[in-house]
Amino acid sequence: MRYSANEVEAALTKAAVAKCYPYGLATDIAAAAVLLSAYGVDGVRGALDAIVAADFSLPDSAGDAGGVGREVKDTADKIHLHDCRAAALGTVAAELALATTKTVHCHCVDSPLLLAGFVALAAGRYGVSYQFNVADSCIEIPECCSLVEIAELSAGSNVLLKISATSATTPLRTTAGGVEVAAQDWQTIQMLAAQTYVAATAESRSQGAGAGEIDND
Amino acid sequence: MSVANASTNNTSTVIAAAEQMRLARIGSFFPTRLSFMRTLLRYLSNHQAQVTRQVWNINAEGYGHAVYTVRVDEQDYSLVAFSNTLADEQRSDRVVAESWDSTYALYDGIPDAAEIERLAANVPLQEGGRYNASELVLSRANKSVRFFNHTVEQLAAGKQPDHALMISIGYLMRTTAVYGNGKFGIADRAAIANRRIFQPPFQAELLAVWLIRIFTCDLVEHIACTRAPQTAVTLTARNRRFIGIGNATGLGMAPFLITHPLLLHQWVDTRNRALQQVLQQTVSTPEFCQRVQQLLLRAQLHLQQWSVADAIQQERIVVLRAEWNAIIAQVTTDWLMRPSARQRLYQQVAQCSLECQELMIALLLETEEALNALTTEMSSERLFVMQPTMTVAQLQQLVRDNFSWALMLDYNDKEQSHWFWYVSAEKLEPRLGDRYQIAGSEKEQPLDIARQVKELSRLLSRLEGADKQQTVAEFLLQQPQLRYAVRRVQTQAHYPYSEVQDNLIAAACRPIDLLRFKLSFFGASKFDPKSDLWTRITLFQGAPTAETLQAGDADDWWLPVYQQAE
Repeated sequence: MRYSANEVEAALTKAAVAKCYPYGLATDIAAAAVLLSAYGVDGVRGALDAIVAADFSLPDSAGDAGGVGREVKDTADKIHLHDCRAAALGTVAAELALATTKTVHCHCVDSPLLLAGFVALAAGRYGVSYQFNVADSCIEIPECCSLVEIAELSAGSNVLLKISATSATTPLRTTAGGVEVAAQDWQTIQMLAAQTYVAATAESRSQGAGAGEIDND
Repeated sequence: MSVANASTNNTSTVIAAAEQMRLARIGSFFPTRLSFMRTLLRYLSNHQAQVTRQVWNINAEGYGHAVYTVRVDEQDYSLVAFSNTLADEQRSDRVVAESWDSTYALYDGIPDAAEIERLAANVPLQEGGRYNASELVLSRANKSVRFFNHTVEQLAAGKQPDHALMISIGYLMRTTAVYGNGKFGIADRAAIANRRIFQPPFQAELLAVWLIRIFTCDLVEHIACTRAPQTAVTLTARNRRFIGIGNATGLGMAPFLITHPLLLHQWVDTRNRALQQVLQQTVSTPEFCQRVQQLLLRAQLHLQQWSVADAIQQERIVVLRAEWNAIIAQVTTDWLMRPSARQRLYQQVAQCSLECQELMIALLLETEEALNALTTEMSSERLFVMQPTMTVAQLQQLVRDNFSWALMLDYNDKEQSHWFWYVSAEKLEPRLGDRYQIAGSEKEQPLDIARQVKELSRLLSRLEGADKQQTVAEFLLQQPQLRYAVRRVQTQAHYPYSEVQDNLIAAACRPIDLLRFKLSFFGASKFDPKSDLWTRITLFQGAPTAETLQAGDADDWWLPVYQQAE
């Protein structure tokens, strides 16, 4: 069924918040999913699978893997992100590649597609192109066909990210026509989103919002 | 490499953000010529828009459906209106209402019978229906029972509505929600943002409301005429023009302002740049003097006709009336003809109430037609972009420089963390709760920007030595929960008017200030607060009707006043 991009983005943000993702990350997850959909791949499913797999949790103070993976700066030119859960680390992986001169190595990525969504989002925001190296392929992002190719990669892939150009050649697509979402996925999103709502009480109904309950003047 | 947000090059300085963006000041704003309703009607007027009533299938009691079409820029937009029976006990302005006196969709084109049938099955259900991208706006309105019935009775008896009710109410129906941008499946803003008419903010939504106003006037005339065909009259052109559309606005508007910081900046910055342009002019012409005096007197009459039950607002109005009368007494033609009259008018109110200061700003903007060109700068399609290359030392400096107002507060003090904003499971109504009394604060909406920035500051202050030179991207790898706060701080550095500089979870926070701020940009007047949480307002009062769009005074309706026929 078709939903507007705004509906999908708002609902996915809530769904991610329900899975304990910080709001600032949740909005990026939703934006990446909608962007992927504009390229003809099921970004909503990709994002949903990634956030449903496990609740988000903060990295612990010891720098252990925790909920979001582990950073190891083992050489002068590489940053390693182990157990790379795309929903948690995808956006910062793309930003790390931008902010440093290092190559970002994402190990055992649970959703290469969602990671690619974040990378495409960053490419659009910052006007750059990325090299998305996986297996023996070097894929340029953003490119329409490359995202379709990435959609076929399986979980557990290792990805190397680096900036390849400082001005993007391809403007990002938009989803002005809306986004197709499978009925089951939409149901799951709504169920998660509902967890962010506060149960109604008579007190909240009478005191928490505006206007009288009857307005016949 | 350097990656930066595109900042506005000519950010205004006439009122500093630290003063401008306080709740008390933005809660005193008035509509201006840059307001979105004015922008819309100027566009319709300048582009020779034509309105036709395509369908009128309304019975003698006033129930049924109608279709109005606006043709502009060789495109058609149709308001599909459904008028329904409604029991008194069901009439509520709240989001939680389930049925309404009337419901509407703004349709992209002219709907055929099958489309009207589809809309008839959905639009009266509002949030319970499902819509297509062919619908641009979804809305509903309830009658002002007193004024609607009174007007029907008066017209049926061959009379016009009572002028005291015209002034005190001034609308036949009030909208209780106007949905755009993809809600419930309607078109996303991105789908229509490249059409010139819809480039400024909220133009599709306001087009729908303007057409609803036409429908409400037609509806009372129709009921009166069928009730008493021998004696009934129609509304005079003057009354038709004065009658607006009421609106009940609650908390839903507040989160929008916080989640659209760049738009917020754009609105305020453009308004301030307009003021700056006015203040740069030093020469007075006789026409300018005449215009200022005309506007001073209009505002005076408007204030006389603006009375509300809310004690706080009424007291502010009383003070404002006195201040305004004093200004009028002083500002003679000679006074205005002396050099730098605009600057002196602006300085004249410096020690007055915020309401008076803001009313004078709105008046000064009204004197300068050339400012209309700035309305193209009121929208922002830009994104809220992180700057991952910034060092944390730089970030910390931005926090210190721009968020001292947030850092000075103690959020462990219950007074500073009293409220939490939330979405109720009951029809997703936005609500505000006492954190220490009501369950659910763990699900609060992220409107606590001040508190988040203070937490960011606390963690930044723990970093030492080389860690201070790490990039924001590296910092957020370890502290992902602070991503939103970092983004707010970075955004505010480039867009100084993007942040309301008050604690929105403090016990002292009055959400009504946020509502008035946003509604003033819509062009609303006669703010009528019913509590700290909601207000009634009037939209399009005094605005041109479909028949008077091309009239010479089509853009001269700042602060509407009702004057009895001579």
